Amino acid sequence: MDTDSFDLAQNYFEVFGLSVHGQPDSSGLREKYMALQRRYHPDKFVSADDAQRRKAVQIASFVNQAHQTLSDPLKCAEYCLHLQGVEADTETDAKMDPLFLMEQMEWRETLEDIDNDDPKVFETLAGLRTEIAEKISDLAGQTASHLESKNTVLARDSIRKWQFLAKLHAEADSLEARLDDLSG
Amino acid sequence: MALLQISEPGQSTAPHQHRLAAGIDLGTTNSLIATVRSGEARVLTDESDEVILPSVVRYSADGSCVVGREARDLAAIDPYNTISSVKRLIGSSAEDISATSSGMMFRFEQTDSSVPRLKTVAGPKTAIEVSADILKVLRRRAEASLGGDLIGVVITVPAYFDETQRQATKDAAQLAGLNVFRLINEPTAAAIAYGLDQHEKDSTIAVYDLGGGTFDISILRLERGVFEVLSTAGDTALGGDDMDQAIVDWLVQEAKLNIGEDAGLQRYLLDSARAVKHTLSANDEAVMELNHGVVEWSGVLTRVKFESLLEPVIAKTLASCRRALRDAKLEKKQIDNVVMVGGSTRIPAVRDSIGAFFEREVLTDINPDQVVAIGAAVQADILAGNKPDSDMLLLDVVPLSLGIETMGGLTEQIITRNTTIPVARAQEFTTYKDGQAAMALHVVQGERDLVQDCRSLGRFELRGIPPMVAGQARIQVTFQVDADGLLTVSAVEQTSGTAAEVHIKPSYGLLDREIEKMIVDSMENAESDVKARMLHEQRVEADRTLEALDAAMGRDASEFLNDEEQNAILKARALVAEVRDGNDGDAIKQSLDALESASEIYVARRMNASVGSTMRGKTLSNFDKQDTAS
Repeated sequence: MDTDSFDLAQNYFEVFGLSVHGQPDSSGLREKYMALQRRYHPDKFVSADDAQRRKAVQIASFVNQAHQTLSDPLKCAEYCLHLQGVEADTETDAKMDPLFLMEQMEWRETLEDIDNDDPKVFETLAGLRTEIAEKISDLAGQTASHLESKNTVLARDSIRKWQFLAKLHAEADSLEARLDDLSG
Repeated sequence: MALLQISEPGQSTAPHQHRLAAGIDLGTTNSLIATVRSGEARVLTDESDEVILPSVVRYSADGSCVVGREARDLAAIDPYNTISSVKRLIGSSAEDISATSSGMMFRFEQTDSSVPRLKTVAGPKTAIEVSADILKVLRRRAEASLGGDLIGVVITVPAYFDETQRQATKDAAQLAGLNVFRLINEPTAAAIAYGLDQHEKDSTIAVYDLGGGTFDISILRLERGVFEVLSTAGDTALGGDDMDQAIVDWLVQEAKLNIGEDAGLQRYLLDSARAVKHTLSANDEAVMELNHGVVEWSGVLTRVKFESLLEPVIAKTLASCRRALRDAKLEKKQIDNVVMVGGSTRIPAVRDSIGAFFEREVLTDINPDQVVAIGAAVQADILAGNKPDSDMLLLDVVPLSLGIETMGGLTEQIITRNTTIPVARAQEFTTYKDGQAAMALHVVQGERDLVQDCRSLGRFELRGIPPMVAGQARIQVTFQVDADGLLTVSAVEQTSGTAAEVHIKPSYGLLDREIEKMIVDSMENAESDVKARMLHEQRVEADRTLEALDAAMGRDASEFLNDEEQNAILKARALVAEVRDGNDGDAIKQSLDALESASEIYVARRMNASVGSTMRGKTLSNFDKQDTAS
């Protein structure tokens, strides 16, 4: 076994031998990921020389990073955009669709107004989460088609909205965990 | 099965060359070492056939120490020089300890170092050094019974151990001259021992670990070779000791005893309780006969009564099980396997209660005292390359998020909890003042938003940033976590293209690595010849002492000593310097002793002035560690 053959300059898709830039099938990705880890994980190099061991840590870290990026739909979309030469996260323009912002604010208010004592608090929260999840799935579909047609402006716009909603969804999740703790 | 083995040119993988490796369970109460021989994992015994090494170290005035049963048995008569439960201290800073160690038998040196040092007749000892002394005994045991040097070990740590505790454990191993292949989580090791990693299907495992003084419950998820710790809960002061105490309380009541201050009687009763506990694991009742001093009593303890005495302890563990399930967001019925670890799980009532709680048969086939060490041995064997066909791969995750302090005392997470390791993450930071030339960064671990609620891992400084307008510098901070979960941090200023320098100072005041290495190399890897080793040791001792003495005298000799006193010390110093290059270890030792007594007055005055207070008594040489570590 040796680490020389691994090219750390590959992109994340190339790491897994994927030619199409888009959300890969999760079980296929997982299988390829495990095969790479079996080959390059530092545990396979405990008795190798220092240089090989260091390289193994680098490769395994790189493979982990690639796997984590591609297996998360949002991160994967951001990465595809990056490969098309555009970054999703530059703070130079904060321009957003006003309609979207309004909707955002309403959801946020709903989330903030959720009352611990409301007997239906879990139903309210679940409803909100479903709504957000549906919207996210719409945006994911739009993003994919914009990325495919290489329309980076529209792709970036939908990714930015997706980021907002992902954050909101995470907040709803952590609110639910807090309520769980209170009631448990 | 491979019929032909073809190895790459230059690689000597002779098919039957077995490489010696071992797994170590470095426990709070007991430690064990195991290895795989002829394909079977087995614990190793000492010359009196004992498997378990009590994690107790007793230091003597001549600097030597005894470890294990003998030390434990003397704990009562020499409590302050006998260190037990040192695992509770490992990786802790002086600050942590003042918060947690109340009521424990530890006495600390007053030092200005952030690393706490236990006060013993053999001088101040850090938790790392005490742990290393335990590991050295295990290492010797393994090398004696396997007939060769260990090429590497796997050491287990509790799943909840943080970065500093893991690092400290690894440092202790290094100090004991051990090459650590990997640190693995104790519950993971237990699951490996049962071969649960070899099942095709994904599963969820609960590991219930009730030892002498600690209780842990961990929920693991095993998904195609990846072990993930979903949650852990427990009680660091709950275990078999509480059961023994419950029996003693019952005895006191039944036999109408008055223990008062009689430590001997207390110990006698505890020993009797321990014995009856073992009897009742196999029998329905036990006859007890007390015969100690004026106490004479006999009676019967039935298993039913015994179980009612245990009830409160078991109930507490079940509460932790419920918490762990809730944290893992799982129902009881989603647990596929329950693994029992720790001597106290031998008690049928414990097994039955846990089985009833999880509504399934619990796994008890492997000796619960040994299961963790055995799992570690299996993993060590694979890592040593003795099982080239093994497909098993243990992918671990970061147990707690790692981040950096940003403006306003907030935590910015760089690597989040449960990220598979090894992993590297980079993040860019910038300056907030025009012309800012340096940046102080604070690395923390934990899930909370405020830095003050997280664990401080270290601070580092980035110097030599070229003058720029605020916000222009692009400082890339990279966190690299290796397969053991250990963190390295580096930082580079990118716009200028010049790499800036980074200094990392772990908050818990790790001993200087180079010094450690020197000690390890000189002591452990020296020729086995006792005389040669002694000479070597004495030379190292002489060098360290001289270096330390010179550093101290250069600083404040004239402040504490008059000319005559200084001359006396310098004369003794000259003798040490002279014999140091000779070949007589005894002569070096004598000259060191002479220097020791000549500097006594200096040491005392220095200490009174609370300057460099580690330079005390016998351990003149110890103040160099602190001087060089800061």
